[in-house]
Amino acid sequence: MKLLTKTRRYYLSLFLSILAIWTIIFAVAFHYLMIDSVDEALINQKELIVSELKQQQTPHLQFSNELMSLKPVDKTKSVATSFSNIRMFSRAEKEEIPFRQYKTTIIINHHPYVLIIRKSLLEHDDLIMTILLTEVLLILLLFIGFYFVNNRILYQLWEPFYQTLKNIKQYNLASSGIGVEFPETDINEFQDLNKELERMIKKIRKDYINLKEFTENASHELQTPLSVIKSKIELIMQGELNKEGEIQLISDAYEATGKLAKLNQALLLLAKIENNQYQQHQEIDLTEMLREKADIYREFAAMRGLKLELDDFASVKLKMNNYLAEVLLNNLLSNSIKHNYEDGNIEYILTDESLIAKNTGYEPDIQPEKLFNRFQKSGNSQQSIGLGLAIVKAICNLYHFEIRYTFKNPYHIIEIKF
Amino acid sequence: MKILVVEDEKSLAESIKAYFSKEGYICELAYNYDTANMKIHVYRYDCILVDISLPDGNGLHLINELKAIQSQAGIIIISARDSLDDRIKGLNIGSDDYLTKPFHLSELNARLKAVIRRKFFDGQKEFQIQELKIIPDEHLAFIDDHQLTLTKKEYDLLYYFMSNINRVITKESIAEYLWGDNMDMADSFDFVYAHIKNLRKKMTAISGKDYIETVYGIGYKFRLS
Repeated sequence: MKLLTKTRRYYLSLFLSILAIWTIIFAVAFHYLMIDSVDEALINQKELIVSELKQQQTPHLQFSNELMSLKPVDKTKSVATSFSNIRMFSRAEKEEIPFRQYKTTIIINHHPYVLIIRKSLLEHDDLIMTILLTEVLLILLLFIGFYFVNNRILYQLWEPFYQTLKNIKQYNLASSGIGVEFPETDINEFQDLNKELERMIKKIRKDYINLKEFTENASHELQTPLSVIKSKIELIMQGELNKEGEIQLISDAYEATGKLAKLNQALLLLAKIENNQYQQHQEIDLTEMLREKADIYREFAAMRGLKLELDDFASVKLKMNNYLAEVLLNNLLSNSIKHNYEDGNIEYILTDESLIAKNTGYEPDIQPEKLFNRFQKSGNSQQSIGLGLAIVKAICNLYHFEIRYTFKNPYHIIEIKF
Repeated sequence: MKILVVEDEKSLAESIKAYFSKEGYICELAYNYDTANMKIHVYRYDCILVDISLPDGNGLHLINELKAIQSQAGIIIISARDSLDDRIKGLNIGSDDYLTKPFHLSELNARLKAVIRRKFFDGQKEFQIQELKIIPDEHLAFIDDHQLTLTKKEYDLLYYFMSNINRVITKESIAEYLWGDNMDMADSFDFVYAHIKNLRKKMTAISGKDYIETVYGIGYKFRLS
């Protein structure tokens, strides 16, 4: 969720709850104030009626209507003064409406009477409703206004933050320079953030370069002692080796050295691809290259009785590093031959969108998603160093190709989408 | 034949010297830039092997130096750097070949011979050892003037053997020579074996002799009396 949306949500819920609480408090308070003033009016009315009746000198007064009733009572039966809310039918409104009723005992010319006066509360309810509605409208307007002003303020406040974010997103460890330019800001927190980010990026960049140099240097440095070992073993081989045991020892050592050298070269290649050191890209006719490679590999395929078929009607041109394109095809093809069985099949389908490498083979005993990891190898091939597909994946990543592996018995299918 | 090996790793330089001495070459060693620079100005060499990264200088400068004094020597770069840029740079400034460490001594030997032949036997298009003859430009091979009908790979194989007569040649080095570094085939030795079998058959059919001796567990030896 975006920061602005989140803030907005908090403000909206705050406004709504204030509005709700305020509405309740206002309604209750207003209601009591209203009742109070109606009661006052009723008492005043009573005083007027009493003084009016006192002057008229009429005995045994009695009348009754919707708003007022007067009834003589016994002295002993006089009622306590009371206010109450009632609902009764109003002839004027033609329905039941709320009334405030005042019931009291008055004495006129020494005769006690029960006086009941009523006042319609209908207008008061209407008044409360009207006022409430106006208030709600006012608050909504305030909220809308606040919403826009707030957005503007929030946006302006967070602008340096978003700028920082954008700059970080654009930063590429491999290709960008030493640091990231951060926007000037007078907000302490953002200044801190930028400073810390700058420090961190510098450190990461330094470590990255160190690591890059280390990987490359380590591999380079390994090449020389490997050459020494290899050449010494070769010299021993040139001498007279008599015992069969000796020959075995020497040939094992030589084979292992060869493997180590290959492994080292593969790791170096992987490091270089991942460090983005193959910068020269040119347009490559992949169809042509695939045909050439297939011709070379057909020899190996034939040796195992494998059929290698190409389905490459389209002339596919890609912008790639020439060497990496070759490595990609080499690794795929040798993989197709290695992980196959006698008299199997290999089929490559090249279109403008994708390269599909299909070959027969036994079901893999590792999970498909792990297949592209380094040093992952299926049990039946002791010879492979387990970096071939990792290199393929690294090349695909470099060029943002999508690579997918599936096994549809008996076919291993590797699909590379350009 | 006089060769200068410029390599700071003494053991490796010694190995190269030991291998080439058996070929009958005179091999001198220089472990740093200064010694090498001094030597090329004083002596004349037929071929110079140069490591690019030397403790006190860049091997590429040495090549420039050689060109400046108009040396006719063949130049082979031996480097731990396997980048295409270095390779192209090295060849551009006038080296004749480029070999990446770690290499097989037998391969270095084959490359050295090829360079020397290109440089010094210019008019002579043939490469002959006893009854065996190769015409590299036309990819033709003969035994006592009987032409051998060879495939491209069999021809390459014979060429490699003829560059390393009476030497033990490992099957790994043959596989690399025939298919290059990129060939990461688990069972490429089977392919080597198949090609050798065919070459042996074709040669025996003409001469009645078996030139290729199998060195059990290691590789092969090409025998010429």
